Amino acid sequence: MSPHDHVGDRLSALVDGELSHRDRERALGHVAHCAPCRDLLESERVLKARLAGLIQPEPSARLLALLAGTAVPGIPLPPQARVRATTPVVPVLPPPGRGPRGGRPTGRGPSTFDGVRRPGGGPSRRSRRSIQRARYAAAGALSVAGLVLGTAFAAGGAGGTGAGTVVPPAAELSIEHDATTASLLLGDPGLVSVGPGLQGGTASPTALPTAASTPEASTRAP
Amino acid sequence: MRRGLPAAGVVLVLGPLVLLVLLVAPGDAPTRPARPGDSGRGGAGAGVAAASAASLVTVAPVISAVARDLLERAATAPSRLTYHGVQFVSAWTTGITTSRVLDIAHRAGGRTTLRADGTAESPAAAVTMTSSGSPSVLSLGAVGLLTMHFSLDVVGTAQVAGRTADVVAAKRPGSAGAGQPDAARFWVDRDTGLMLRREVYDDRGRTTRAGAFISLVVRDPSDSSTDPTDNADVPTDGAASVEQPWTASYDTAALTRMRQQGWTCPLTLPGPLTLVDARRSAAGIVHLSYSDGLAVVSVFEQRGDLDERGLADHRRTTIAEHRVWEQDGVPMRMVWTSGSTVFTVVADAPQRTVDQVVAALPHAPAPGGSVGGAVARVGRGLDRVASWFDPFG
Repeated sequence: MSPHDHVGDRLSALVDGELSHRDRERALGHVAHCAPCRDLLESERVLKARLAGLIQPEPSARLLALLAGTAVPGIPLPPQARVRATTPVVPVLPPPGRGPRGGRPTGRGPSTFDGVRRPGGGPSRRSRRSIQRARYAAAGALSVAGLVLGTAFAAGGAGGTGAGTVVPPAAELSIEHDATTASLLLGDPGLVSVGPGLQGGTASPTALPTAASTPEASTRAP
Repeated sequence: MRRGLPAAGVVLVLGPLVLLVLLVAPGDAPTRPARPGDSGRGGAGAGVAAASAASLVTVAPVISAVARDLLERAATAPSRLTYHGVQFVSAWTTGITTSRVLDIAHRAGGRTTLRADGTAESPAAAVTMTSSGSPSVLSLGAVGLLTMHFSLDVVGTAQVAGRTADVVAAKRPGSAGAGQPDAARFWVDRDTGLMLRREVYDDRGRTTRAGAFISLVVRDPSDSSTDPTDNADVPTDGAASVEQPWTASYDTAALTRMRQQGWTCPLTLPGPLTLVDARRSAAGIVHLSYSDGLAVVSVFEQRGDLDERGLADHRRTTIAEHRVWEQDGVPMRMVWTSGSTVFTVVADAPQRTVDQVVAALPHAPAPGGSVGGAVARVGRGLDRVASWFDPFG
């Protein structure tokens, strides 16, 4: 491409800033001396501006809410301002020396969708609140489960009288045995046994079976 | 994220509970008392119980109609007669002999008062007994229970306390041949039908229980001014008590539900003994009464772990490889722990029958401090908490 060649089909690429540095310099040098090409360049810029000014379709609020709900904790949400942009985007020519091949991101540090770095680089405030709520829910659930299991553990170790360890009430059991024995066997209470409530074997000197009597160990005859 | 929070909470709460249920359900078997009727779990005792039940079915008792009528008359005599007298009663167990002289006073259909003077080994005492009502499980009556297990026949007459009595002998089925000892003999007053004398023998014909009237006065029950129980003096050096059985009883359906909750409650025990009555104390102790018409064995089941410090007057013994606490005397008493249940057996029965009963009942190891024990304890607790809301519990 010589400085005397018209811009021609490279006019659109020039407006979009897609030419290389060298071709862009030559094209701009030609346009400075060529009135027809300068008119074409101006017309192309106006056309691009009008196209950019058309209304852009916007995502619905429900779609945005769903996208916000599926966001992974720790990863920042896409900026709503960019999604909801209503102002026309007018392409501008990149400044000299900052063409697409010369301006590359460094790739260091946490990047965002909009290419803006945030101080600290941590999760957003909203995601931190979600994590905190989840922790509260887990702690509450574990507390309830612990309470239920603790109650079951305590109740499982208790005996019928509410104590973990029990001693059979010897006198009460003897009375109960004697009372039912007399009703199951032929004869009166004296004949069917050695006298219900009056047993006194040589090795078992059972004392008087009153309701308040103590276990036999404490009433053994000397 | 907000919608996920309740779901996560529910999972965290229900998850451990479901896991516990899954762990406890199969793990409950070691702590659940084995039932004597279960095959392969009760060891030799279960086999004995099954064999005893089989023998009960295969060899039918032979019942004399006259003997049955005599015993039926004797069974109803306390409801018809008012009397007082003196009895001499004795019992013999291994190495122990017990004898008492009793003053007895009975009011027709009512209470019975027994009074014993003090001896060198036991103090004087008086006790008044009231009827326990009909058995809750098996209501055959004393004669019906006896005819289930023994053959009956009239073998002669005799004199007791100056009164003529018909003698009825009870034999074990299949032992009716000559030379086979009787299981028991009953002397029934020919005039009133009252049981005047009663003796029970072991397999070798040796007397194990004996009781007889020395003197007897039968009064007119229509004469309300002659209530002998009103004159039953309380010994000055002793104490008096009124024996009343526990009032809460279980029928067959209730026993089925109790087995589902881990109670043992077998229907039969070696002897063979049949479950006749089931009751419960206010403290939650379950009393199961087994009998064959001559012997009575009470099995008490109590939730908890046995505090052996309270058994100072018992001695350690081993029955069928099971360690139990035993108290000699009449009646015999055995205590042990199986899982989380304390068993107490109080028996007026031959020594061999008592040993078979103890061997047939559960002897599971007590839950310790292991993980399995803790899980089982939590499972028991969940069952217990659930039972609080069970209207049938």
